[in-house]
Amino acid sequence: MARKPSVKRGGSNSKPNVSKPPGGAARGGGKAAAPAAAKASGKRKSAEFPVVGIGASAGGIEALIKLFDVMPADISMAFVIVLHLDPTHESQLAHLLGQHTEMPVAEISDGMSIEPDHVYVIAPDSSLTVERGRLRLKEPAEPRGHRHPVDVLFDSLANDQQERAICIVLSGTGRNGTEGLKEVKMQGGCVLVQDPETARFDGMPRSAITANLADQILAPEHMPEFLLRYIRHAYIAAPHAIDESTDGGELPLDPILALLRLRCGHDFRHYKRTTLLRRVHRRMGLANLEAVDDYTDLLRSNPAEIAALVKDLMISVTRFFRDPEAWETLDKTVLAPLVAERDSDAPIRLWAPGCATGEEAYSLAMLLTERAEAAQKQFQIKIFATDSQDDNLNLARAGVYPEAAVSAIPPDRLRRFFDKLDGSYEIKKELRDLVVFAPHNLLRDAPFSRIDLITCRNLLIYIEPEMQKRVLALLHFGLREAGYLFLGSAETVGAHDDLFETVSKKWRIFRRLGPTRHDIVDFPLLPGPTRPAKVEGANAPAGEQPPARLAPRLADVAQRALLDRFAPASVLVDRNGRALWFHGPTGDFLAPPTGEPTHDLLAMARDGMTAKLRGAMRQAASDNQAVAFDAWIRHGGTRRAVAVAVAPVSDPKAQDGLLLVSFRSEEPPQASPAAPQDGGKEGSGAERALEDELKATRAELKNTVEQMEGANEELKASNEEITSMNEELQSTNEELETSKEELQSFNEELHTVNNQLQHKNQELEETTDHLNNLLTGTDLATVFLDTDLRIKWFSPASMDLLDLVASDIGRPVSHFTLKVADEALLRDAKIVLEKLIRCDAEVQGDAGRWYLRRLIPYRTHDNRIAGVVATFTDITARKQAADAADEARIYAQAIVETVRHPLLVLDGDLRVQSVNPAFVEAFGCPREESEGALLHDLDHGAWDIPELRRLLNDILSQNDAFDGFGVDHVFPRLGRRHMLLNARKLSRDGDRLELILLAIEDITERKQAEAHRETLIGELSHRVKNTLAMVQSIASQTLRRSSSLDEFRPAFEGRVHALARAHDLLVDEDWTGAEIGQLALRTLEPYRMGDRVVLDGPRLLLSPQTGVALVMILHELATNAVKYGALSNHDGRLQVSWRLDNGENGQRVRLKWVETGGPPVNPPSHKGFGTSLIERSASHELGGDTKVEFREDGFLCEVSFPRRDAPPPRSDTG
Amino acid sequence: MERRRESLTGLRILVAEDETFVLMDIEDMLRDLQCEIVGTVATVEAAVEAIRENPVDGALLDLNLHGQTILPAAEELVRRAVPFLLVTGYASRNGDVPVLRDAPRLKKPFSLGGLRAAMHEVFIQRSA
Repeated sequence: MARKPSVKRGGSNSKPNVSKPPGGAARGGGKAAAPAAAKASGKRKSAEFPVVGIGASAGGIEALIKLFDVMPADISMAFVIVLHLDPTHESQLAHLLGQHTEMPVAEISDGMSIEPDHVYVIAPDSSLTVERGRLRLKEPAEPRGHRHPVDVLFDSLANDQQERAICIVLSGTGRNGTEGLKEVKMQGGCVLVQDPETARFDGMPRSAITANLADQILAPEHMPEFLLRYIRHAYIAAPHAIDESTDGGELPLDPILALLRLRCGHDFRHYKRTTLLRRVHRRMGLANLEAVDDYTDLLRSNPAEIAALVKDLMISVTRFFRDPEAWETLDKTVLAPLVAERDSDAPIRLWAPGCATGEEAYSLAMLLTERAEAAQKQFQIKIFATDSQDDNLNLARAGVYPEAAVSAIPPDRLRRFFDKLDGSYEIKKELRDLVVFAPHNLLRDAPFSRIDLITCRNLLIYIEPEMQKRVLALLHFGLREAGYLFLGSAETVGAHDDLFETVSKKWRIFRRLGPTRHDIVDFPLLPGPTRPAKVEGANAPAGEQPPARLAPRLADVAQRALLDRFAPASVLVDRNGRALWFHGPTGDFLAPPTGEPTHDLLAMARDGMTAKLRGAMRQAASDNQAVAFDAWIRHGGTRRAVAVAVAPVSDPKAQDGLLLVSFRSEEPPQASPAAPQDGGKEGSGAERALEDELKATRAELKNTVEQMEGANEELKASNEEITSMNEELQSTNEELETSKEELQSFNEELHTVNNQLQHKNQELEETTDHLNNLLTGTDLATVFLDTDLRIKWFSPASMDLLDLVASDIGRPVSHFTLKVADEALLRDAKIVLEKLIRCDAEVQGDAGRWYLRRLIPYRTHDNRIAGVVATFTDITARKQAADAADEARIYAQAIVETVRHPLLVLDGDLRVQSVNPAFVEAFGCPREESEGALLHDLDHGAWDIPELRRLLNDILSQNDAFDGFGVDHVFPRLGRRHMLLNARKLSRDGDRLELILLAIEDITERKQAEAHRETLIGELSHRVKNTLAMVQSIASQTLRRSSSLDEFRPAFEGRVHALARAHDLLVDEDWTGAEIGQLALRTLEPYRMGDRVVLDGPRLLLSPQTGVALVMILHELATNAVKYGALSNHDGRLQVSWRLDNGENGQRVRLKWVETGGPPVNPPSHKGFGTSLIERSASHELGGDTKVEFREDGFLCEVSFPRRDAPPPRSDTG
Repeated sequence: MERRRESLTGLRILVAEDETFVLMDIEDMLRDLQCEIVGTVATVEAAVEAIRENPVDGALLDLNLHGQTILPAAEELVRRAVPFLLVTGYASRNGDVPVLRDAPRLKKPFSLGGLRAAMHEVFIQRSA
């Protein structure tokens, strides 16, 4: 609940340097002088002027220059600037700023006093504070990097200047300044923050804005204008006027308070007027309005201003372990005994009303946790932390605090209870769970109850004494007996010292006294913000106004009255003497006997009448008549006469035989000096009659008097009875009231817990939504199994896949025939449960789909294993892709294996990954030796070819391929090989190794074939040229021997044709040689002589050249034979025969040309060209000799020559 | 000592040629050039023998006689500092030993003019 409206600080009236409250309470509280002190001194230094603190960091100089460029030099303010400066360098800041303002700019030295229209700049590596109008410079206490110099300045400025403090946050990183600003706001000061849009670094401005601390967000150049307006406002310029206006009891604020009550449900009527007024004026100052009415109008038209005002009024400032000594005392005197005396597992209940942003509650939680741990006990700790402002609660629930906020916490405690985030600290969950945050207004809502310790610090000081009393009473109620109350350093239990005893006076720790005081507790009856305050009636005693009960019937009243008045003390008994009803004061006659309570009338009857009573009762019952007797009873040592009457009573509704026993005390008979008795005998008859009448009348009177007295006593008794009943009722009523209060209290607590639960529930719902959406969104079939492998939960996506319906939850998964073929599921799930490992498997679903089934242990938040999570991911596409890849691989493999070129696959290290059979075959390297070896180690270094390595490395680093790289390499095993190499880099996406496919083409044989072809061409050219030379020679020789062209032509043609035929033959035989028979046949064929020509001889191969020469010889012979010899007529015959003779000098061929039957032969006169050609050829070309005979019967020629074997087909020569 | 020659006339020439028609043609040409044919041979042995036995001023050598290289004869001539012309149909000199490779050549077929020019260059100018 906690409203902590800003206090009107004593500061406005009492500067600390003028009158400092004793005991350091004002500074010790960090926040305030006691309200009493605030009012005590009304003096104020007249020459005061506002001091403006400016904090900046990175980008700050630029902002400062903009600020001072437009700042008038006579503004009547002093400026104190703190900038993060490099501690090791002298600062140029003062010099720099001096160029942008006419005010004197000074670097601060310790003790310097502050003058208006001066600018003071912090010195490097120092900590700056303002104390009593002077600047104090100290060595920074914190190590570099953990300093918050801006916080330090703002804090001290706020405490020194109170509401006159003006602080400006400019560009900078981090959160420096934000903590200090809290104090400034608390004191009613004004906070200006640079618009983050204009800041080069917006960390510090944004931090201040996020913490709701900025009064104005402005660009630096607009700040002076605002400052001028603000300081001229009465809030700063004439604070006395405001104070005085409150003294007069004037209530200009009522409309504003009503507005606040109406618009936002906050009732500030119990807050101190001065505080309210000061805060309202502060807002007016910021809005630059002078009249309260104007401000009220502003409020009406501007909801944001209402919110700002409420926030200002409820400003809440708290810190971790504020006043460390107080907390230490609390720890020792309260928490330590509490922990010591409480059993383990017992509940400990603490309450921090007005918890603001939770620091106090967390401080308590930390101390208590430490104590409990030290004692090795575990308690059910419940810390209720309540506040009325949701903003505060949200911050508190989040439990994230800036570094400056936790700077006072020792490092080990910080580590123990906080997680460090980026630049801030978060409360650990363990600690967070101890604290229950709930909205609650102490002034409005019912208190909690049975609390061990309530810390309610710096709340009472803001509210009026009347309200303080009420709150203290509530706190008293909320505490268990002897529970503790921890107040702020400026607060006391005041008038309620009967309710609390002091435990520590200095640190304001109190203990509850006495039982619950329902009389003083004024429970709010109606929840809700607009409950009418009932201060006046608050303390009215509970029983003062008896409630109007239902009106009893008048007859009853009358009868009752009569009974009370006249009826004697009586007892209604049954026949057995058992008392059924007592009426009237029977105490004189009856006394409870010793022993167990009894209804036996006879046992109760006082001594002296028991026997008579028994007899009378028996008689009355038997006779059904009234029986009376007198008796003497002993009562308290005296004897008294008693008249007893026993009368039967008939009541149709009751059983027969009830008896009414009535007692009446008989006064002892007094000897009355009755005159009539004395002189009676002398009376006349009339007298006697009169006397009789008088006697009767007297008797009647006496009777009546007696009756009246009896009735009177009875009435008295009834009255007493009613009174006691009334008392009983009242006590019952009180009890009920107490119960009601307790119920209300419980109710409040339940409400709080409920609230917390709702909050958690909401978070859970949100988380559930997230998870549901996640699970639906991922379309991932998920099934949770418990440890017995029963289905605990499944995602919607699994319904189709596994054929599950909602009612299957709780059934063992073994009962299902899943749509996926997963026989191993049960086995794997058990393994997962046992070994707590993950288990993956690929399973096939229907329609040929594949799933990755993954099992992982189901872990609860406390890391317990509560089953198995099974997920099914559709991997059909992946599987298909994998299959496709596999097929492609097989396909590629098959190609590699099939290709007749040797192929190598190398990895990035040029290590052989695989070789194909062609490689194995071609290079004789067994596959098992090759694969895995480095290329240059392959086949004992046979492949260590530098140029090849260079090219392969090029491929790896830059190129992707090379083609047709020729390598001429001598292999130890294979000899010289010519190879053409092609290579391709097989680069893949992803992290697979790079591979190189190296294809080898062995072109050794092709090279040889090419060389052969070249040789052949050369040979051919040679032959052609030789042949041409020969044709040329034939032509020129024939020409020389011809007399005419007619003669030349047939001779030349014949010779050339012969040559051609010889060539034909040689070509037919592939130029390897010529068979002599064929030569002869071909040469003579043109003459078509049929059987006139006989060829005879063995098959005999001759060398090509020999063949040609022989053809030319045969041609010349045949030409002659046709011209002149045996073939010139029709009868001549020719026999060509040959044989092979083996002689001394090897084999000789002998060929015989014998013509017969021709015309008569005439030896020629001179040797013809033909004959000499024959002879020349035979001798020169064949190395043989010729014999020619011109015999009468025909020409004969014999040629014999050595046989030269046919030369080898591919001779280099020819 | 060799006397200086101005013409081919009277040069003693050895012809190594195994084709009869070609040999006869060369003989006719040499006669036309008024050279003296010292010998005509068709085998390498015969050529070497002829060189050893007869003083020659020059030689026309077919590179190849009955499948045998003329090299021994060429070497014989080189030893005696007798100029010679290789008469051949081979265009390429690759693979030949230096003696043959560097020797002047006359490519078959050739004309009388061609023979004259080649002989003039080899037998007269070079020896000059």
